This record gives sequence, structure tokens and C-alpha cells, in this order.
Amino acid sequence: NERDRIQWEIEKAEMKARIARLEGEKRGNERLIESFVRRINMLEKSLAEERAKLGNAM
Amino acid sequence: MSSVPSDELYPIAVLIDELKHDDVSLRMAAIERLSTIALALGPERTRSELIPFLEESLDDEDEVLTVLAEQLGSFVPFVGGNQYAHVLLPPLESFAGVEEPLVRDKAVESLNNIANEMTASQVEEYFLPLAKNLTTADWFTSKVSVTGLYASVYQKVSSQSKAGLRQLFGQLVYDDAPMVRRAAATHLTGLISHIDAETVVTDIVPFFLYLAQDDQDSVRLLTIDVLIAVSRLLGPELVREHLLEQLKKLFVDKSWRVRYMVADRFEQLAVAVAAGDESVLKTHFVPAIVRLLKDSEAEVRTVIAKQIPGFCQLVGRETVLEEILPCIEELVNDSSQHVRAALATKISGLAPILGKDLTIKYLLPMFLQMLKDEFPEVRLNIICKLELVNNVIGIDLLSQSLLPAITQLAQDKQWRVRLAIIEYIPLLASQLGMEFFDTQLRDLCMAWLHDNVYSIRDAATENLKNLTKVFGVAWAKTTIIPKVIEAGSNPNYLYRMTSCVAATTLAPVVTIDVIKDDLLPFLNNLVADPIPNIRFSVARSYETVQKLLLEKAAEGEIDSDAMDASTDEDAKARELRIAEANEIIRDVIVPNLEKLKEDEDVDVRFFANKSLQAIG
Repeated sequence: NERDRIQWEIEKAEMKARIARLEGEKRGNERLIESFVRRINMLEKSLAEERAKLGNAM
Repeated sequence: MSSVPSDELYPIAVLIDELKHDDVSLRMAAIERLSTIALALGPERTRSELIPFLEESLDDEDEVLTVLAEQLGSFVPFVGGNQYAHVLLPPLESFAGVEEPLVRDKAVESLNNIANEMTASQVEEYFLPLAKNLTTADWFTSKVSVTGLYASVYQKVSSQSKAGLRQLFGQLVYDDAPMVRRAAATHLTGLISHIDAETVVTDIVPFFLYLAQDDQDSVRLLTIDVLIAVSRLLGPELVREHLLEQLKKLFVDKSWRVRYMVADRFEQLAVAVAAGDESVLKTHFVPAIVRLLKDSEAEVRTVIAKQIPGFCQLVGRETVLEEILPCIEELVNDSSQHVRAALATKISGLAPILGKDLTIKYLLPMFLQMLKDEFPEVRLNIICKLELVNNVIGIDLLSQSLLPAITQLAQDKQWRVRLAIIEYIPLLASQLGMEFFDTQLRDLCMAWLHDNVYSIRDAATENLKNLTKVFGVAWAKTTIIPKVIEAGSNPNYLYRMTSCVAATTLAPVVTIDVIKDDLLPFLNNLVADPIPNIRFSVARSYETVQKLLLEKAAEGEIDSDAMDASTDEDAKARELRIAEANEIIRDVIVPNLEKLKEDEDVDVRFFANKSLQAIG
């Protein structure tokens, strides 16, 4: 009946909002991981450069 | 993506990329880990490339700038140690001038950190110009920020520069904008602690006098802390010479916010200004407190009421009697309940100062009146602090005057009044001790179990439980439980019911043995009660009792009067106790419940079944 239908719709809307929020969080985390990977690469590169410099000096 | 990978991974390029995100939280994460970028660049390139980049190209949300300002404060190791610390100053200087206070505060904090890590000559070379720039800036935000820097710079520089700094600070004190004057007044206290007494008299006292006469009350009220700091440094004679006049004006300031500040710091002021000097206290501070106690603003009276015992400790007993006590008597009848509540927390502190006889003569009447106050917090505060009075005048005298008041309230016609006093009984009992309670108050507590009003009876059973927590199981076993059981044979079924409920309420706070020997037999007797309401409440009680028996057996709860079985704490004894508890449940509780299950009344059958199910 009417009341059950409304309740069901409210629940559905809540679920949708929840999905949207979780998806947003997931996207944010993915981007964060992406930037962290870049930073790791950056550090790896500068470490390699430092090593090379050290090797030359020796 | 077309560029060479080595460019892609160039640290500043990485940072630029990260700062291009639309998502603020990602940009913040990038700035939070700014140290990684600096580490990858190495100190030299951090100085020559990263810092200028940050300085020029960063225009972002306030949140991001706040994080950046915070990061820069701990960046000294990344730019190559403290001999290069000065390269961090330019970006922070611009952050100190932005509009958002959060960013400015962080920038000031970071600048102070850096100043602490710099050597004296570095501070002279780089920080002094920065302080000057900010002080003479056009916009007030920079000036507000710079007030927070003076203290850390001042303690590092030469005496010559110190004089210059004091002069510069003067510009801030005499600034047109009240925001700047407020900030100057706030940070003047920090600055004072680094200045010697002589210079304070010549240079700082004029600042104080100027600010204390400001036409904005928000500025004037900040000078009270300055006054306390200055007074601590100068010592009583110099204070009297330079500051007393101004202080007298602050006492009677026309803004209540200023008077509130005075009242809030009253004891500190009295200690700092008139330490050990009776005459100053008497001629200036006593009239001031009298006036504040009669202030037209209730907030002022509330805070000054809290200062009463502390201040009275400083002045002699006679002064208290003659001057202050009459005002306190008026406050007892104050129209604001907050004032009365504040007074109630502190008034007991006067008892040790006045001594036994005077306390009885003057304080007790006030106590009794406050005990009858209509506002519950006042009564509660009085009862909470009863111990102080108890120590001075002794339990006998206190009980003589207190007891009539309590009994009167306990037998008040209004049941809400009775209820109110019941709530304080456990607290009162813990303050007054077991002996006093047993002789004077116990019968009262028992009488409440027979009150006409259910709420009172209900509160009384809770009260018994709390009293058992205060005085211990042994006490409950000898004094309360026999009375409760006795009430179980009352002809009126409502009182029998109360006993049944009381027995169930007490069960969680007593030991297994008490449940087994006293409470359980009592419940068993009620199984055959003619009234069904009693029978089904017994059925419900059994459920709680069996659960408690098992819980307590498993916990191995030890109590002072418990048997040997529970004193040795090994697993075997525990097994034994659990077995014993199960035996009781099987042999006593279950048969009784089976009997109730066959009852003619439908409710009794329902609750008996429910309890049996819970036992399983």
C-alpha cells in the first residue's frame, strides 16, 4: 500500500546516496594512489641519481 | 604525456600536477607530504627552486594554505639546516598577511618555530626587517599577525635592537584599528616575561596605561592579564606607584565585560598586586569585591562568587566577617539561580577560614537556606562540598543542624521535593559516614519504600542499591536486607511488590552468598502469594537472579565477607561455583517456575514461561 511504497522509496533513495558516496570515495582513493605511485617513482629516480653521483665520486 | 619521462618525474613537475587536481582534499594531501618533494630535490634545489615556486605560484583555498603554512614551520632540515632557515621567511611573511585568521595563526606559529631554531645573528639579520615590514604594513592583518612574533624575536636580539623592537611594538599599541590593539594587548603578556623590571616601568607601563583607557571595552578587558603579568614582575611597591590608580578604574569600569574579567581574575590580581600587604588589600580590594558582589550584572556576580574563599584566605578573618559576609548573605537570596549555584559550590570553602564557632554562627544558616533552594543544582552543590564543613565543625554539630533540614525535605508534602532529596542521599551518605547514616537516616530511607507515590518507591529501591555500593555488602546484609524482607509480609500487595522489586534491584550489587541465603528464599516465599501481580513479578525476578548467579560465579567476584570458596582464585574454584550456581537454578528456581507455569492467571503463566525459556 501507500505507506510501504513510500518507505521503500525512501530506502531506495538512501541506498542510492550511499552508493554515490562510496563511489566518490573510491574514485578519490584511486587518484590518491595514482599520485602516491608517481611520488614513489619520483623518489626512486632521485635515489638512483644520488647513487650515480656517489658512484662517480668514488 | 608527450614529454620525456625524466621530466615527468621531476619533483616540482609532480607537485604542479598534484596541485592541479580539482579535489581540495587531494591538493591538501599533496601539500601535507611536501617534505617528500623537498627530500627528492635535496636541500640545494629546495632552496633555489621549490621555495620560490611556492612563494610565487600558490594561490589556493584557505585550507590548503593553512596546511602549507604549518608544513613550512618544520621545513628547516629540508632547506639545509638552520643556516639557511631564512629562505623560508618570505612565503610565511605573505601568509601572515592573508585575510583568513587560521592561515595567519599557522604562519605565526611556524615563524616562531623557525625563530627558535635560528641563531641570534640570523634573527637580527632576517627577522628584524620582517617584523618591521609587517608592523608597518598597510593592511591590519599583517599587524595583527606580527604581535605574536615579538616575544620570540625579542629574547634573541641585542639590547640595542631590543629598544627598537619596543618602539615598534608601541606603534602597534597606538594603532588606529582596535583589532591591532586587541592583538597587541593579548601578546603584551608574553612579551613582558622577557623584559627586565626597570624597562617595564619606563616602556611597558605606558602601553598598559594607554590600552587600559581604550574606548573599546574589548581592548580594556584584555589589559587585566597584562596587569597581572606586570605586577608579578615589578613587586608591590612599584605596582602601587604606577598601576594602582588604573586598577581602581578597572574595578568600576562601566562595561560589565571588563568587570567580569576583573572578577574572574580577582584572586590572581589580589595576589599579584597586594601580595602580603594588608593595607592595600583592605583599602582597595575589599571595597572592590564588595561592589562586585553587588554588581548589577548576574554574570559578574557568578564569577566573583567563585573567588570568595580564595580571596578571603588572603584577608584576615575580621575583614571577612565585617565586610564580606553581609554581601554573601545577600547572594544566598540572589535572584539568579546561576549565582546561587556558583556560591553553593564555593561557600563551604569559608568554613576552614572562619573556624568552628563562626561557621556555626554564620555559615550554617546560609547552608540550611540553600539546602531548601528551589533550584536543584544549588542543593546538589551544597551537599557535594559538605565534607569541608564536616572537617571543621565535626559530624555531631553538622548533623544537629543538617538533619532537621533533611528530614523536613524527606517528608515534604510535594512528592517531587521528596524525590529530589532521595537522589542526593547516596552522596550525602558517603560524605557523612556509615555511623551517622545508620543512626539518623536509615529509617528515613526505609520509610520511602512505603511511600504513597510509586515514583518515590521506585527511587527508594534504586537508592538502596546505590547505598550498598557506598557502604558495602556486609552492611547491606545486616541492615537493609532484613528490613526489605520484613516489608515483604505487608498486608498491602503494593508494598510486597516493592519489596520484590527491591530484592531484584539489590541482587546485582551483593555477593552470591547473599543472593543464595537471603534474597532467594524470600522470593520463594512469594511464589504462593494470593495476588497474581506478585506472582508474576517473582517469575520475572527469577530470570534476573539466575542470570546474575551465573555471571557472578563466572567472574569469580570476591568480596570481603565471601566464603573461602571464592577467595582462592583458581579455575577449579570457579568451576565449583558455576556448578553450584547451576545446582541452585536447577533445584530451586526451575521447580518454582514450573509451579508458576501451571498458574491459573494468564500473565503469571506468560512470565513464568518467558523466564524458563531464558534459563533454557
